Amino acid sequence: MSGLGRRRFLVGSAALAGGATVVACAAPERESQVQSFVLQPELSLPGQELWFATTCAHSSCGNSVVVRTIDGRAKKVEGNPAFPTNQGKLNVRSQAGVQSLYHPDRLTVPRRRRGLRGANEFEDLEWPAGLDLLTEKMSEARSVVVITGPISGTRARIARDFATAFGGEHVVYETLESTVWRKTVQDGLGASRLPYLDIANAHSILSFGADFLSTWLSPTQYGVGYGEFRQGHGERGRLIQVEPRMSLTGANADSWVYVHPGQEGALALSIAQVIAAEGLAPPDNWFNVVSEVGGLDALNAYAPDRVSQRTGVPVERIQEIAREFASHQPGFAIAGGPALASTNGLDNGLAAMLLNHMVGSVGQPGGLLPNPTLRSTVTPPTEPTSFADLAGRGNTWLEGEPPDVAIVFEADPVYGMPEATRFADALGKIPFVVGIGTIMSETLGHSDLVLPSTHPFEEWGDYVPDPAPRQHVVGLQQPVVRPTTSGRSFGDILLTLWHDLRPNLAPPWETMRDAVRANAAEVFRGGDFEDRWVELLKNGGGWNDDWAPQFSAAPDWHINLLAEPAFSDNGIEFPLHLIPFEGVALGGGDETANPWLQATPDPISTATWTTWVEMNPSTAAALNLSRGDVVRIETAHGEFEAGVYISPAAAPGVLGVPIGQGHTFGGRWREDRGSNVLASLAPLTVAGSGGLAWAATRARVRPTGDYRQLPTIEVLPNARNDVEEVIVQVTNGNGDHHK
Amino acid sequence: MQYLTALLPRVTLKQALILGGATAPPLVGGAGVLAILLYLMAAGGTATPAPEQPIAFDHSVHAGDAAIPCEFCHRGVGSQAAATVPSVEQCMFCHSVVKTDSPQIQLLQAHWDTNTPVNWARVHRVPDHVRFVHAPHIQAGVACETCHGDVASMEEVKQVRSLAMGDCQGCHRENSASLDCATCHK
Repeated sequence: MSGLGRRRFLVGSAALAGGATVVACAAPERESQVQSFVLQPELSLPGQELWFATTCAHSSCGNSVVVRTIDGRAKKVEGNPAFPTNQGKLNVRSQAGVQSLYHPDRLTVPRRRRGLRGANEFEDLEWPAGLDLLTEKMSEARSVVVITGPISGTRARIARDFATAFGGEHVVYETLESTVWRKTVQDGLGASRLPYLDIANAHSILSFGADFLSTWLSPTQYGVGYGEFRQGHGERGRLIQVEPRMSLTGANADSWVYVHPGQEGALALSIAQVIAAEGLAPPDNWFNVVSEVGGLDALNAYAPDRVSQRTGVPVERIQEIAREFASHQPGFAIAGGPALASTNGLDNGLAAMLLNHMVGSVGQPGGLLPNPTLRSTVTPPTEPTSFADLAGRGNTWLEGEPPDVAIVFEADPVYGMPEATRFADALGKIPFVVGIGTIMSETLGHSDLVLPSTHPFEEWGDYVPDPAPRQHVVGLQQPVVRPTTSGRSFGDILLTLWHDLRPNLAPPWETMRDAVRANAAEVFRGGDFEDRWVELLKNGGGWNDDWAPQFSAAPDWHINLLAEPAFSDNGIEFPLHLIPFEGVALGGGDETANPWLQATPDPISTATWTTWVEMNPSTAAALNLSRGDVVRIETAHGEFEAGVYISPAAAPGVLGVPIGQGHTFGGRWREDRGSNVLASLAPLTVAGSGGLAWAATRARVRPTGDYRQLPTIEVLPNARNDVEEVIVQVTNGNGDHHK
Repeated sequence: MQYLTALLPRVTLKQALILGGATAPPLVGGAGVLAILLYLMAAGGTATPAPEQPIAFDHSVHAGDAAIPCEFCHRGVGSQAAATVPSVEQCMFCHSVVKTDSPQIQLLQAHWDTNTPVNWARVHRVPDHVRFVHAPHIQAGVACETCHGDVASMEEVKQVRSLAMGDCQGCHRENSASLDCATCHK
C-alpha cells in the first residue's frame, strides 16, 4: 500500500468515475439496432399498444382478459371489464399468463420417447413425423381415451365427439375435483348447473370450508361480490368460516370456527336445530323442509349439547353462529374444501344446504340463485369425471383391458392421483400415450409422443364459465400474438386426425377457428353474423339472459344419512389429520412452472418456492420442533418432507400442507422443488359422489434433523416490538429515567 | 450550447473513451470528467460515418434509380413516431423474384427462410429525453431530405445533420414551429 498515496488514489478514483459515467451514458448495444419483423403483425405499429380481448383458459380460472400487446408481443394482462363473471378483475394466475407465454422451457417441437417411460429421454421430431406417428397408431387403434383437464365449450365438444368417433371416451380430470359440490347442488337444489351465489346482496355467509376468496370454483367472480358484501350496502355483511385449517377466506372472516375434520355436517345440523328450536327463522320456511328430510326428532339428535364434543365446537358457540346467521338474512350457507373432501362429504354438503332451505335463501336475492340451463350442447360446460371413476378405469387398465391409445391434454393425473391408485402404472399399460401441452408435466413425461400445444394467448377457443353469472355466457378466445413455438392447438390436432382417419364422421370444420366461429353463430343467433362475430371478439365473448329453472323445494336427502367420517388408518399410529390445500397462486400444481407464481407468497404463511407444513405451537412443542425444521410426514400410503411453519392459526392435531410442488418434470422452476402431498393420500372416496376424500388421511410426523430456513416474507416471530419497552431513555443526573 | 458543440471536434464514442482514458490519469480527476462532459455535449452534434449494415442495402438503387417513394418502405412515417423499417416480408414482395442470385439478396432470403429478423444498424438516433415524432413533420410538409439529406444518392445511409437541439431549434424557429421545451421533452 506504500505506493498508493492520497493524491494518486483521488486521481485514480476520478478516472474510474469518469470512465463509468461514459459507459453508463452510452446507448446500450440493442439501441443501436433496429429490428425488422419478418412478418409485420396485423394492425401493429411500432411502439404503439394494441389491446385484444380473449379468455385466460390456461389457469382453469377462465377469466376473460384484455391483453396489451406492443410490436406483436404480449406485455400485460388485465381483466375484461365487459365480461360478466370477472367484471374487469383478475387473479394472480391470469396476471402471470405473459410469463407462461414466454416461458423459456416451453415445448417447441414434437418429441418421441427414446428410453423407458418416465425416464425423460426424448428425441426431437419434425411435426410431419410426429403427426405420421400419431396417425399410424390411431389408425390401428380399436379404442382411445382422451384425458383432459377441466375444458369446456367447443374444445370439450371436439374432445368428446372425437373420442366417441374413435370408439373411446373423454375423461375430464380435476386435481381437486368439483364433483362433490355438483352432486350436492343436484341433490340439494335439484339443479343441473352450479348455482349463482348472490354474495353482493347477502348479509351473512356461513361457509363450511369453501375457500371462495382464494381457490374455490370461481374466486374472481366471488371476490367482486365480496367487495359489495362488505362495503356495497348499508349493513356490512358477516362472514363465518367453519373449517379445520384456516384458509384465506377464514382469515378474512368475522368469525373463524375450528371444527374437527369431517364433522361439518353435524355442526350444520346442530345450527339448524338451534334455528328450529329457538324460532330464529319463520316455521313456514323450514317446517315442511325439515319434515321431508327426517323431521324435528331427527334434527333434535343434533342439539348443540349432543354434538359439541363430536364437532369440537362449544355449545354456546354453536348457538351464537345460529343466531348470527339467522338474524342477518338474506344470507346463505355453502360447503367446500375439506368439508366435502371427507368420506361423508356429500352429507356435509347437503346438511349445509338444508340451512339454506330453512332460512329461505334458496332462489332468493342474497341467497343461492339458479343459473340458466343450456339451450343446446353446442358449447357444453365442464363435466368432470369423479376420482372413483378414473381410479376404476386405471384398475381396468392394470387388469389387462387398456385402450390402445391415450391422448392427454392439460391434465396431470400421474402427479395428482394418489400413488396408491397406481395410475402411472395403469397409464403404462396403454400401448401408446400421446401428451399435448405447453410444458412438460409428470404425465407428459410418461408419454410416448409429446406434442407442443399453443399457449391460450396464441389460439382459438371458447370457454363456458361454471358457475355462470345468472346468464348464459360463452367467453371467446382468440390469438393475441403469433405463436412463438411450432405448437398447434389441441383442437386443431384432433381435427386434423379426425379428418385424416374418419372423414365420414368428422365435423364440417377443418380448424378450431372455424369450429369456434360456427358454434358462436349457433349460440348467438340473429342479425348479420359477420358484424356479430366482430362484436363478440371485441367483447371477449357473448352472454344473454336465458330461461332459468326453479330449484326444488327440499333436498333429496335424509338427516339420518349423515355418517361419521372415516379416515385412513387408526388415530394411534397416525395421530394427526393431514389437510392438503390449494394455494392462491399455484393451485393444483399446474402453474408451478411459473416463477412469478412460485414467488407469490401464500397469504397465510407468506411462504414461497417450497413445501411447508402448518403446525400448531402445541403440536410442534410435543414433537420438539421449531420453525424451519425439516420433517418427514408419513401416511400409510407414502411419505414426503416439508419445512415446519408454526402458526397459532393452525389447529392442534391438524397438518396443513400446500399442494403444487414435488415435480420431476416441467422446467427449471418446477423440477425437484418441495414435495407432492397428493401422492401420499389414501385413495378414499366420498360416499355417494365418488370424489376423492382428500381430507381423510391421517399422518404422523418424524423429525429428520435437517433445518432449512423457510423462504417467507413475513416478519420473524419476536422481531416485532410486541411488549412495552423503554424506547428512549434519558438520565437526568439523579438516576431517574424518563421515557 | 449549440455554438459550443459546433466548435467541438467530431468524435465517436470509442475515440472519446480513448481520449478520456488518456487524459484522466495525468491530469487531475476534474479535467478527465470535463473531457467526458465535453464529449457528451459534442456527441449529439456529430455526423457519424455510415455504420456497417448486416445486408448492404443500397438506397441509391431503390430511392434513386427505381424512384420508390420513401413512404413505400418506411410506412409509419406519416402516422406515428417512428418511420419504421420494412418487414422482411415486404422486401420479399419484390425480391422473391428480383435479383434472387445476388449474394446480398440471398442473405435476405436466409432471414425469410429461417424466420429471423434483420438487425439493421441504427443510423439516426436522438437521445432518450427527446420525443421526436415523424408524423407532424411529414404532415407539415417537411421533406425527408431536409433532415436526412439526399438519401436517394447514398449507397450507404449516413447522418448528415447534427440533429442536436440547436439544429432542431433553428429549423423550428425558421418555420415558426413551437419552441416550447415540452414540445420535444416530455
